Amino acid sequence: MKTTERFPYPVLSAFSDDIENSTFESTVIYQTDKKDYRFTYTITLHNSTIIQLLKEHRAVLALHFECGRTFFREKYKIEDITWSDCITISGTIVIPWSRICGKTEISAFIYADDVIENYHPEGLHPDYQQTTFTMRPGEILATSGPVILDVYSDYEPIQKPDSIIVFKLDKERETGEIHINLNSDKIEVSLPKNMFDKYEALRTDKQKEGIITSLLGIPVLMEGLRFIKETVDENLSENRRYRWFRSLEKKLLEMGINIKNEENTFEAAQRVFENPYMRAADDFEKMDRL
Amino acid sequence: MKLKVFKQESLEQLKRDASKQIDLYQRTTPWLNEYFRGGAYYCETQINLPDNLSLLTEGEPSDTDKENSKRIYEAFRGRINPVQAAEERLWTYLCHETFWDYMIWRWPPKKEGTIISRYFFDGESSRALSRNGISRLWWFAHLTYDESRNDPYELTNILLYSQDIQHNLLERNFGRNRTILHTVLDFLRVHPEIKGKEQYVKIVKTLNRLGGVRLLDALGPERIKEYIESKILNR
Repeated sequence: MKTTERFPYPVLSAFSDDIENSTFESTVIYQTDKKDYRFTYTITLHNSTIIQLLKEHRAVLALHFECGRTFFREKYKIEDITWSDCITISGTIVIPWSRICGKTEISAFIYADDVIENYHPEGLHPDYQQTTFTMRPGEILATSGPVILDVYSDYEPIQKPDSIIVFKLDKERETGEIHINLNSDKIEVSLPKNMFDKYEALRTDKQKEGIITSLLGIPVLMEGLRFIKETVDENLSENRRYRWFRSLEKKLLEMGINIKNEENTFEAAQRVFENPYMRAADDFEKMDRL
Repeated sequence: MKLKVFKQESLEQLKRDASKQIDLYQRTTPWLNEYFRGGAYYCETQINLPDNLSLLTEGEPSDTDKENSKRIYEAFRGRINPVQAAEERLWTYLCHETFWDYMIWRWPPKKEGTIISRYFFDGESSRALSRNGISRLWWFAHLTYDESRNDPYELTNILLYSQDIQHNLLERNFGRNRTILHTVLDFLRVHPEIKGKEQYVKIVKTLNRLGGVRLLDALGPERIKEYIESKILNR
C-alpha cells in the first residue's frame, strides 16, 4: 500500500528525516507449500519512544497485504514481540493460495491504537524543537515498504523445452516463416502447414529430439531470454503472469545467471538447455552408425 | 452442466483478434465453434453448474444486476475461490458462450472498448474484475455477502442501488477492504436520503482524505462510521 510521503506529523520512515538515529525496516520473502503461501518477515525497529508505546499497547505493529488482482486487503497484527532497545522481529504469516495471486504489496506499519498525547519521539528532527503532537487512532508512527512480490503457486520446473514451448499448426498459412508469440502461458511457436507436418514427424522420432531442440528450441528460447532481459522493472509483474516467464526466471536464478548482465542470449540459452549442440552432435553420430 | 474455460492460447488469440472481429460480436447467437473452426479451444472443469442457470434479460438492464448477481453467486457458491474467480479464461468463456444472450443485451458490443472491457479483462487489476460483464456479478455479491444479516445480500442490494455506488467504491483501493466497504454500504442503508453521484463522490473523497493521514484498515467499523457521519451528516 502506497502512503503519502507528506504527513502532517512526524513519521519514522525511509522517505523522511522527521525522526533521526532511528530505524524501521522490513523484509519479506515467501515460499509455497501444498495449499498456502508462507510469508516470512523480519522487521527491525530502533526507537525507544515507539517501542515503549508498543509495549504499553498504545500502538500496534502490523503487516498490511494488498493483492490488486483478488480484491484482497488485510492487515495482520504482530504481537509476539521480545522487547529490547532495538527489536528485531521475525515470523511467518500464512495466506491460502485461494486468496491471492500475482502482484502483492506488503507494507509494515506502526500506528496509534489510542489517543497519544504529547507525542515527541526520540530523535525528532531539531526543526520541530519542542513541538508535541496528539496522535489519533490509525495515525501512522512508522512505515516501511511496500515490498512487492509476485506470488504464484504453480511453479513448473523446466524439464525440457516442451515444458515452456508449444509448437502449433498455423491454420491460416500453408507456407512461410515460423511465428512466435510470447504473450501466453507457454511460448507459442506457429508453423505453417507444410513445415508443421514435417516437424511433427521428426519430433516423434526419439533419436532426433536433440537435433530438433537445437534447430528450433534454441532460437525460440533466445527470444524468451531476450524478452526477460528487456523487461523493465515496472513491467515485471505483468509479464510474470505468463507461466513460461516465471519458470525461466526461476531456472536462471537457480543457475546463477543474471540475464540482464549477459552479453548475448545465445550462450545463456545453451546453458538452460544443457549443452544441446553436443546432444545434437551425438544424435547425428548415432544416426550415422545405423 | 460442467463449467468450461478457455485454453490460454485460445483466449489470447480471441483477444488479439477482437478489434478485427467486430462483425462477429453483432451476431445474436454464439460463434466460437465457427471462429476456432472446430478446434479444441476450451477445457472442461470438474465444477458443476446448475443446468437451469439463466440470467434476466428483460427490463432496464442496470436494474437486473441485483438479481443476476445473486444468481451467479449462488450458482458458483462453494465451487470457486477468489483466485479462480480472477481467471480471465473462465469469465471470458461464459461471456462469449454460456451467457451470450445476456451479454449482447446488457453490454451491446458496438465499440472495441466495450468488447475488451466487458467481454474480456482489460488489464490485470481488480478493476478488470468489476468491469467484465459476468465476473462483476460474482464479485459484487462476493464482496458484499454477509451471512450475519437476515438477508445476506442486503449490502449487495445497496451496492447495486446505483452504478455510481459500485463504481465509486470498488474502483478505489480502500474498497478492497471488507470492513471499510461494508461500513460504507451500511451507512448508505441507514441513511437512504444520502443518494446521488455527488453524495457518493463526497463519501469517497472523505475516506480518501482520512486515508491520507491514517491507516484506514486500522480503524474499526465504529470509527469509520463516526467519521463518515461527522463529515457527511455534519454531526
